[in-house]
Amino acid sequence: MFGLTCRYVRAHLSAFVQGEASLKARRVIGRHLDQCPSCEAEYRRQRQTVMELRRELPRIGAPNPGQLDAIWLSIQRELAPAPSRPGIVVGGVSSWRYALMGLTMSLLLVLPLLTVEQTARAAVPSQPAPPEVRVVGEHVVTPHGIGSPMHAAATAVVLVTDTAWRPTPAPDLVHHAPPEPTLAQSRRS
Amino acid sequence: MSDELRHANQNMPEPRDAEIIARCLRGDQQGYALLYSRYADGLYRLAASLVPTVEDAEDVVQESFVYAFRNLARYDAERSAFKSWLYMIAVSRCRNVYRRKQFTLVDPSALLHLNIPAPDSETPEAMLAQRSARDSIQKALQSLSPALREALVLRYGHGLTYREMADVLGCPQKTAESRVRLAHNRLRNVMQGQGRALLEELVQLG
Repeated sequence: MFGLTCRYVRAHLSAFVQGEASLKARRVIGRHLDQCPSCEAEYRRQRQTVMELRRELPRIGAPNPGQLDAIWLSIQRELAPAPSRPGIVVGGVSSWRYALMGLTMSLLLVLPLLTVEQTARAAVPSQPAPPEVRVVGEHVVTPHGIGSPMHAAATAVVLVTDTAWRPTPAPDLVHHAPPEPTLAQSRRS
Repeated sequence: MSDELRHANQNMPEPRDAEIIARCLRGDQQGYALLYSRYADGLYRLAASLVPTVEDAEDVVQESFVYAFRNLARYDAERSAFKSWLYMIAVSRCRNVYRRKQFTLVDPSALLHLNIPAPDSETPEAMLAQRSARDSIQKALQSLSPALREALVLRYGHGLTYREMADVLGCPQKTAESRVRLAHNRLRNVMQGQGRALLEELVQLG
């Protein structure tokens, strides 16, 4: 008779055989196996399978004598420093190469900044700035003369400047307080 | 085993992996030989269980150790044991072999007849039982997918815990457990009805 307990045992038998079943499952299965010859036979089969696997699988693929030595020699050859690149040590991960590369990259990054700074200094004008002038008028110069009807096709504009004009100092934009009254203004008031 | 590897084995007491790795990172070449002598056999058996030919297994072992030694500074002892890290590298390379060769199943017959010691008992009955068991396992393994075969080999062939299997296979621990259980059930179904009665009588249950 294949009852509910048998179904439960069969469902958890694999875990039971491999020692992974819960405490409750172990109690139920252990009690049932003592009473049910069918489940007990199935338990013996599964247990036998696991035993065979544990015995046979570690034997699969055992290396031949000398095979591991040959592989070790190949590994050493592959990890050995190349003649053109002396000093590379396994595990050191050729750190000096990374350091050299980093230094070069840093120089490449800093070099343009130094060059730009020198260029900016050279671009500062050494002569005084040109004097400021005031424009008092302009004439349009065309191939047909000044003020002609064809002045719309002007090709040049002549600015007339006041040579006697001198720039006044810029007002103090920060100081907004009204100017102090003069002595004559105070007497009049 | 070569003199260098034998010499590496003579250091007593056995240093822990972390100590050997620290020596390697300081440039001690003997440390690499020590790591190789400690794990080469297991790694070769793992590769030979998963890839189709001896040449593939040798390539996997060589590539795995070269990669591990070159990237030793990147190994994180807090994340996994060195053995798990090394096996993970090897399994990854075995999967590359599957993909490259469109290989799905190992030929256990070629592997099972290599270097297997004589059975414990030389009686004809015991030898027959051994042969029957191997034939059963051979047929059963041929029916498994690579994922289930990996789980089975790591669990029973190398005795890894499920936690270690999860690290090696790159999957949750529950997934590793379910793969083993699934492989176990499939094996059992395949191995049923193949002269089990004789085997059960001859092989002592322990």
